[in-house]
Amino acid sequence: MKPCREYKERIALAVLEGERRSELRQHLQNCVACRAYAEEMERVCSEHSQRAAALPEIEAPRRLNARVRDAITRSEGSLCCGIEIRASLRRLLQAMGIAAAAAIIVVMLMQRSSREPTSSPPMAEATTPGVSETTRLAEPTFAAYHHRLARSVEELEASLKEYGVASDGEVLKASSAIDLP
Amino acid sequence: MQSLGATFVELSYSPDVLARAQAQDADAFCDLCRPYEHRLFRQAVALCRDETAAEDLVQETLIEAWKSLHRFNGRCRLFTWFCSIMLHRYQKVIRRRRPMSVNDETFHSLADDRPTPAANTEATDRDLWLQRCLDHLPHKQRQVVYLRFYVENSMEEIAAALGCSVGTVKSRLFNGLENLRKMRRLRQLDF
Repeated sequence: MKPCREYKERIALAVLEGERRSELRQHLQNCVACRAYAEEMERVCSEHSQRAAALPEIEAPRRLNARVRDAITRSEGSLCCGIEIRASLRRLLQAMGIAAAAAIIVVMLMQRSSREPTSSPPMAEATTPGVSETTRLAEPTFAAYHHRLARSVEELEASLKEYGVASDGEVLKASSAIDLP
Repeated sequence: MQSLGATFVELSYSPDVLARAQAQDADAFCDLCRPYEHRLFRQAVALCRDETAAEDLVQETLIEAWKSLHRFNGRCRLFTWFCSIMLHRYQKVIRRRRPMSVNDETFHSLADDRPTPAANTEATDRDLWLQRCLDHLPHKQRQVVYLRFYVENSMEEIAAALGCSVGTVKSRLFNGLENLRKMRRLRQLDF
């Protein structure tokens, strides 16, 4: 015969706690299977209780505390070392992040300034009296560099024409006629 | 069943020592755990049945406790907390020895594993058998059964140590006892 399913947990916990409520007591009086189950559970519990009571009184080795101390001191050192490494890595990553963000901002600004339509050449604006050539050269805009490059190409073409060479490389005059500096 | 084995006396510790240990003071931690070493070792010997393995288990337990001492909130006794860590560590020892689940095959292997007549005394056989039964319980059931019978904790204290509800503890305890009962029945020996 099997014990009543709805009573099994209550019986086990009641055996464990050592107190049975009246309803459970009444059920156990009437149900043979549950009574047998309770007796079996009592034997299981008493076996482990008796074993717990009979555990031998053994003293821990004296070196145990020293072993623990050594181990935690070592782990403390590795923990500190790990924390320092992590902090350095974090600082490095922060610096790299800031540098990357700065680089992105510079590139975006340069692209934006290169897209802006320029009504007058920036270098022409810079030819105001009192502004030195180095100041003008220091302007870090794409448009300024583009303008300077265009001017340089024009100057180069003019020089080539002066020496009798077309921009596509065709010789306009005899090479012997060229007065080399 | 009111009497649950050996008398349990909680060894007091200074809150100051605990606070210093929680602030990663190694000396304070060693002072804190020194009074518990003998009892922990005794429990570890009961689990491992080998003094060398028990010493290693206690050492691992205390190192683990050192690492997570900041999580100890005083809702259960310090010894209970140490024991719950030790049972976690012991689980790793068991994993190396056997598969985890309790199934019919496990029950039958237990039934076939009766001590030979030439083996040790009856008390030792019974002790070994009971420990083997505990080892074959699922980890969570073994935790509550062990803390209840061998560390003599109340349901509330076990729940606090394991971070679960009292209802969960009761449920695991019932399932653990039910499994122990089945193992005992298969054994068919009345000690």
